Amino acid sequence: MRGRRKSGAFPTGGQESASRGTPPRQIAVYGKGGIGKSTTVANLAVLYGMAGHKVLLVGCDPKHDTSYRVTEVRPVPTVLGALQQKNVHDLTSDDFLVAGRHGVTCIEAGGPEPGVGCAGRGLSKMFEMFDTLGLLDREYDTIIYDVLGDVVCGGFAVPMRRGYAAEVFIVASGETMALYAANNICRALVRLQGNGVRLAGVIGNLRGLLDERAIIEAFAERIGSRVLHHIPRDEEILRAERERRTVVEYAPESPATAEYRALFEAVTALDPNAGVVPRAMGELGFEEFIREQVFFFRDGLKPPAPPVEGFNPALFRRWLGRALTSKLVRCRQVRFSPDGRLLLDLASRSESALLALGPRAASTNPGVHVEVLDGIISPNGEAHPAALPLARYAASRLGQIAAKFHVPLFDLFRLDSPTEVFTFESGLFAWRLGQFLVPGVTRSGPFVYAGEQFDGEALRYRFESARANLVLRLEMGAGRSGAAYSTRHLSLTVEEDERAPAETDDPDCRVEHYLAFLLALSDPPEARYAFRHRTEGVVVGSTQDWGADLRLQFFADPGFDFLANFNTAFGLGWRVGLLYHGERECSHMATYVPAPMQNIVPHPLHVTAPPGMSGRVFVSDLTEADSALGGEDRLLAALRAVAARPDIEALIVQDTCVVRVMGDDIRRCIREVEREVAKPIFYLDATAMDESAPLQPIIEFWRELISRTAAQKSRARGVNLVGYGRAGDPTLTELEALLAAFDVPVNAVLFPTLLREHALCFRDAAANVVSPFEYVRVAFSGIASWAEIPTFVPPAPYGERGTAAWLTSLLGSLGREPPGAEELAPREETRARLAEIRTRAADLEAGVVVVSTQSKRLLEAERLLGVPLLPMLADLGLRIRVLFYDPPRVRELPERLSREEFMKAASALPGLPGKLAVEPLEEPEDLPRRLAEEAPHLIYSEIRDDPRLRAAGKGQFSVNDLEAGFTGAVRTAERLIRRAAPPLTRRYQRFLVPNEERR
Amino acid sequence: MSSFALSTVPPFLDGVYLGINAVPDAWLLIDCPSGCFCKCERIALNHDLTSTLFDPMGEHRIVQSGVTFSDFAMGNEPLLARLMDQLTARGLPGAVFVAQASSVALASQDMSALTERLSRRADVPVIPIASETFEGDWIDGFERFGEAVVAALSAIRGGDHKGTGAPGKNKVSIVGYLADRLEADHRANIDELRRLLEALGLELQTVLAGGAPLGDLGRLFDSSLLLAFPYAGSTARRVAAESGAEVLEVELPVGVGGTARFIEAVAGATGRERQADLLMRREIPLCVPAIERAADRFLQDTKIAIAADPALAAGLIRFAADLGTEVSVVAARTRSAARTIGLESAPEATKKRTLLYDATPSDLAAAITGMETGERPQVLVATTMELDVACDLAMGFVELGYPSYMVHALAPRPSLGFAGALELCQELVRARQSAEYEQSRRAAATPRETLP
Repeated sequence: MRGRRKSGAFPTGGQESASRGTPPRQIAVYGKGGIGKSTTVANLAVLYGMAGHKVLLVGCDPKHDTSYRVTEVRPVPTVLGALQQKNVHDLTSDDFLVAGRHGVTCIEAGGPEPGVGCAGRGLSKMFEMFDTLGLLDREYDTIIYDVLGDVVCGGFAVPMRRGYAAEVFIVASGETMALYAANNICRALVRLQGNGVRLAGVIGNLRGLLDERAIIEAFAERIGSRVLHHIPRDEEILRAERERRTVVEYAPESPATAEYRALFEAVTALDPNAGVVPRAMGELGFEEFIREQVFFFRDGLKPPAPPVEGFNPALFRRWLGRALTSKLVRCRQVRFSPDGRLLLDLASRSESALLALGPRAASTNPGVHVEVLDGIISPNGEAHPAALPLARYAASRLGQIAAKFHVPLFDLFRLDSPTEVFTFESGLFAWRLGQFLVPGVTRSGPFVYAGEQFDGEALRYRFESARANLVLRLEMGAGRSGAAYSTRHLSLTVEEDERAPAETDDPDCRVEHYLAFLLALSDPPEARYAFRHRTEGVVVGSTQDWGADLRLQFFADPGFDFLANFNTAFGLGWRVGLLYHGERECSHMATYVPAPMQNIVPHPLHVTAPPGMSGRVFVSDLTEADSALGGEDRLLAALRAVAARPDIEALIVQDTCVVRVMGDDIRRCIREVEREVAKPIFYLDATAMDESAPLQPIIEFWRELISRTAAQKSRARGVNLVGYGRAGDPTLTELEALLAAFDVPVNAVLFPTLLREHALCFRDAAANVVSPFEYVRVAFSGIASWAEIPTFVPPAPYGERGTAAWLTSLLGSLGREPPGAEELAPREETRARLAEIRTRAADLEAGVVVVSTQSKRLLEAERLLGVPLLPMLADLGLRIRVLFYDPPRVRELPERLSREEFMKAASALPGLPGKLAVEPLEEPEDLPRRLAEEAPHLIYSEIRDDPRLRAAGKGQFSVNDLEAGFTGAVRTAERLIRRAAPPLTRRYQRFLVPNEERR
Repeated sequence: MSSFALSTVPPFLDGVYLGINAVPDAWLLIDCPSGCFCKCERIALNHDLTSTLFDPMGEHRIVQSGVTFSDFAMGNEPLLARLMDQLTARGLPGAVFVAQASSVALASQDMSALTERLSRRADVPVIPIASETFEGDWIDGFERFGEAVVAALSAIRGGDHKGTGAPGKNKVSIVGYLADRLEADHRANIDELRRLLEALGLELQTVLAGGAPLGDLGRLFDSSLLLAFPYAGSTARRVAAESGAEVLEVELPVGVGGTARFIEAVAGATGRERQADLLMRREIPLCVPAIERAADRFLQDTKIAIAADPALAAGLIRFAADLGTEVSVVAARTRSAARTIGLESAPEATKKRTLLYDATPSDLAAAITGMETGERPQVLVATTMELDVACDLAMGFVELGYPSYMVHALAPRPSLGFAGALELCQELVRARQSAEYEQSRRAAATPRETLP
C-alpha cells in the first residue's frame, strides 16, 4: 500500500498541527561547519532530557554527526539513506527515528556523497517527510535542529519556515569565517522574518583567540542581539567526544559541564518570544566590521581609507575619450572629492584641466553642473577656477551630451546607444548607480553602496558603513507619502536610517541628495523608468512572455517552426534511441503529438517522436532520492541498458533542467559507457534554462553524426541540398528532378533529417546548396566548415520566377552556362495550369499585417523561414495589401523601416510593382475593423487558429502553405484560392449573431 | 515497466493541467524554465479542441515563469510577483494555483510562504499545489488539483461554508470527475449523469471538475450529498467536513451494470428507491435489447485489452463481462500499484488476467503476443499512446481517455451511463469488425500452396 499521505499541503511544521495543548519549543542552532554546534546541541538535548523533557533532536547536517553522542544505535540511519532503500510512499518513521538516552529521540537527514547531489534538497525532503508522517505531532516538549550554516540556501533554510523553529541560535567563535557564516545566517533571518522566526542569541564557542569574547560580543551588538554564554575550549569535551558521549554525561562535575549547564539555564530562561530580527551586514559592511573590530581592534590601528567601490574608471575614461573627440584629450584620473562630486583630471598635449561634476545644493541649473577647476585639489577641498580652452570645451561637451540626450550621468558611461531604454529589472540602473554614486567618505567613516533589491513595486538601495545601514526606497509616482525627494515621476524615501545625526548635517554629504540630483536629470516626460514593462518601445513580444501585447503578432518567432523538427534523429534508416536523463515530466515531451507546439513558444529543441517510434524513447527516471543524492548511477545504468539493446545502434542523451541543478556529469558517464558498448552516444545539451545558444546543441549533434558516418571524400558528385525539406517530400522531389534535367544529381539531403546513406556520402558532393533561411545557414555553417565543400545560397525557389532564378543561380555557381528561358520554364502542362490559376487569383487579395520593426521579414526571405512571401504571392497572381503599423515609439529603433522606405524596398522585389498596396494602420484598435473589410480575402498569420481571423471571417495562410518549385506553385495557388473562399462562419454569420444584436 | 523505456502513464503535471483545463477560470502560475508550454500541448493543441489553456493572443491560463539559471540561483520571487501583478491587473482569474517544475522544486523554496506573499498582491485566492513530479503520476496531479480547488473555494467563501442557506435535501454534487477534455464526449457524460440524477428527483449542483467555473463550483457546499468518484474521496471529505454534507463513494457508472449500481447506490443513500425502479424500467428497455443483440452478434468470446486509468479500467472490465466478452490484459495507467488492487481478478473472469501498471507500449505488446494465439485479445481500448500496439498487432482500436488525438467528439459521445453503454458497445462492435476485416485481408494476402 502507499504510505500515508497528507496531500495537498506543503510542509508547514508541527506547531500548526500539534495535537496537544502546548506546542513544543522549537530551536534551530546554526553555525559554521566545525564550529562546535553539534557538540553544543547534543549537550543541550541531553540536559533537556535530564530535566524531564521529551526531546526530538534533528540532525540537519549532511555529515549526520549530531546523534552519535546521544544514542547507542550504530550506524545511525538517515532519511536519505532510507529513501534510497524504499519508495517514498512506503517509508515510516521507524525507518529513521532512533531512540537516544534520557528520552531524546534522534533523526538524521543525511546527505549525498561529495561531488554529487544536493544536500539542501535532501534536507527539504526530510521536512516533507515530517509533514507526511506527522512526526512533529508526537508530543515532544522540545525540538532542536542542528543545522549546517555555511551555505544557507533554500534547503538549509527550511528549519526557519513557519511551523518549525521560531528561535534561532548561532554558534560562533571569534574567527573571521565563523562570524562571516554567522552574518550570513542573520541575512537569511532577515529575509525569512515573515515566518516569525527570530534570532534568540549568539553562543560563543571559544577557540582561545586573543580578545575573542570581546569580538563575539561586538558582533552580537552589531547585529542587535546578545551573547547567551561563552563555552570555553576544554579538553574534557574532546575526551567525551572520543567516547561518543556528551560531556554532561561523561564528566558531570567538570567545568565544561558547568558551562553547558549555564548555557542551558540561559536558554531555558529566555522568553521564546523575545528574539529579534538581526541587523545583518552586507558584504562590504561585514568587511568594514572585521577591519575595525578584528584587525584594528587587535592591532590598535585606524581603518585605512577605503577604495572607491563599484566605479569603473577605465570604462569612464574610454567613454570620455570618445566624447571629447575634437581634441586629443586624455582622462588621467577619476576620483571623488570629499564633498561627493566627481572629479575628472583631463589633459591634452599642451593643457590640463580639472572638472568637477555633481550636485550643488544651491544650484538652479537643471542640467549637469560642471565646474571648471584647475590645479590639484588641495587636501581641504579648495579649488581655483580658471578658464582654459580645454576645460571650457570639456565642460561644454559634457553638458551638451547630458542635455541633448536627456540621460542621467551614468548613462553616459555606456558604450552603446544612449537612447536604449532599460528598466529597474535589468539591474543596469543599479549598476550604473553603483558606478557613479559612490559617496566617498562621510565625516564619520566609509559609507558604500551595497546593492539593490526590486520587489516589483519599489527599488531599494542599500548603503553601509561599519556602524550604520541606510536604505533608500525609490518608486514610481511623484509626491509619495513620506518621500524626502520627489521628481516629476519618481519619489525617493529614506526608509531605514541608522546614521548618527552628525553624519547628516551637511546636505552635500547626504547620499539621498546626490541620488535625487541624478534622478532629476533623468526624469524626462516619457517617464523612462518602467517598473513593469520590459518591452517598452517594442510593439510585439514573444508569445511565451505572458502579458506581451500580441494584438499585432502575426509572425512566428523566427526559426521555431522549422526547428521543431530540427533535432529529431528519427530519420529513416537510423536506429537511434533517445534517452532523457531526468524525471518523467520532461521525458514525456518526446511522445508523439500530431500538432506540436507552434507559434506559442519558440522552443527550438522540441523533440517529437514520429508515430511508431515511441519504443525508442527512454528515460533514466530519477526519483526523489536521486534528486538529493545525485543521478549519475541511474544514468550509467540507463546508458548501459539502452545502449546494449540490439535495436539501438546509436543513442542521443538529452538532459533536463533537473539534472543541471543536480550537477550530474553527463559527459563523463557517456564517455564511460561509450567505451564499453562501442556505439556512438551523442549528448544534446538542451536544457531549457540555458537560452544563450539554442542552435549550438543541434549543430554539434549533426556535425558529430555526419563526421562519424561520412566516408572520406571519394569524388565530387552532385550537390547536397540543405534545408529544403525531407527526402521524399513532393517539393524536394521536384527540385531534384529539375536539377537532374541539367545533369546535376542530388547527392544528399540534410535538414530536417538525414538518411543514413546520405550521411555516408555527404562529403562526395561538389557543393552544398543551402536554403536562405537564416537559421539553416547558421546551423549549417557550423557543419560545413569541416566538410571542405563550397557552399552556395541561391535565392529561394518559390513561384515560377523564383524557381527559375534558383536554377540560374545554382547552375551559375557550379560554373555552368546560363540556361535559356525555355530550359528554365516549367513543363507545358504546369505552365498552362499556372496561367489558369493566375486568372482566378487576379480577383483575390492577400493581406499581411506588419509592424514597422518587423517589416524586413517581408523583404528578406532569410528572415521568414527562407520564404519570399510577397514575391511568391505576386508570382501567383494575387494582389497584396499590407497594413503597416508604425507607432512613434519605435521610430528610433534600428530595425524599423518607415512606410515609405518599405514601399520603396518592396517595389524593387520581382513582380511586386502594381500588385502591392501598403496602407497605414493607425491604431491597433482599428485592426478588427480593417480585417473584416471585404478585402483582403485571406490573411497571413502564423498563429494557429488565429482568433482574429476567425472573428473577421477570413481565411488564413502561413509560410507552411507555400511550396517551392513549379508544381509547388500550382499547389500553393490552389490552396490559397480555396482558403480565400468565405469560411462557414462568414457565410452563416447572420445565424451566429444573437437575436438582439441582429435587431 | 521495461528497463528505462518510456511508460505511457502521463506525469504528475499533466494531471494538474487537466484540472486547470477543466475549470475555465482557474489559472496556473507554474514556476518552471521556458518549455513548460511544450508539456501542455498534448492537451491544448491535440487532445481537447475546446481547450482554453492557451490563448493565441498570449493570455494563457498556464503562466510559466520562464525562470533562468540566474533567477533560480538568486531567487525568482520578483519574477513571480510581476507575473502575479499582470494576471490580477487584467481581472482574469477566479483563482491562481501555483506549482513548480521539478528543477525549481529542488531549490526547496518555501511555497507556503511564497504563495502567501503572492496572495497579498492579488484579490483572488492563490493556492499552492505541492509538487510530486518525481514519483507522482497524472492521477496524483489531478487529486492535488482537486484539493487545491477546495482550498480556493473555501477562501472565496471566506469561511462561511454554509453558503446562502442550508444545503438542499435534493441537491447533490459530483466530486472527482476526471474531465480530461470538454469536448462533446465529456459534456455528454455530464449531461447523462444529470439526466439520471434528475430522474431520481435529485438536482445536480455542480461537478468537480467538469467545466464549471469556480463560482459554480461553490455550489459543492450547498449540496447535501457529495458523490465521490474514485480518486476524490479525500477531496469530498474535505468539502463535507466544512459543509456537513454526506459523502457517498461510488464507482464510475460504466456500462449497464455499472450504471445500475450507481443508480442503486445513490437511490439507497437518498431514499429514492422507487424513483430508481421507475428509472430502470424506463431506461433498460431502451438500451439492453440493442446492446444484447449487438453483443450476441458481434462480440461473443471477444477478448479485449484495456489501457486506462484504474477506475475506468474497473468499469470497462465489468461491462465487458456483461457483453459476453473477456478482458484478458489490463494496463493500468498509473505508477501506483496500490491503485490496481482488484483489477487482476473479478468474479466473472474465467481466469486471472494479465495486469500491468506503469507499462510501456512494448510491455503491453509483449503481454499480448506472449499469449497463445487463440487467447490474444482482438480489441484494444486505450489512448493514442497505445495506438502503435493496435496497429502493429492488427487489433481493433477504441480510443478512450487521455490522450485521444485521433477521435474528437464534435457530437455527443458519452461513455458513462446508459447512453454511454450504447456508445461503448457500438464502438466495440466497430473495432471488433475492423479487426476481423483486417485479419481476413492478411489471411487472404498470405501465399498459399497452389494446387498441382
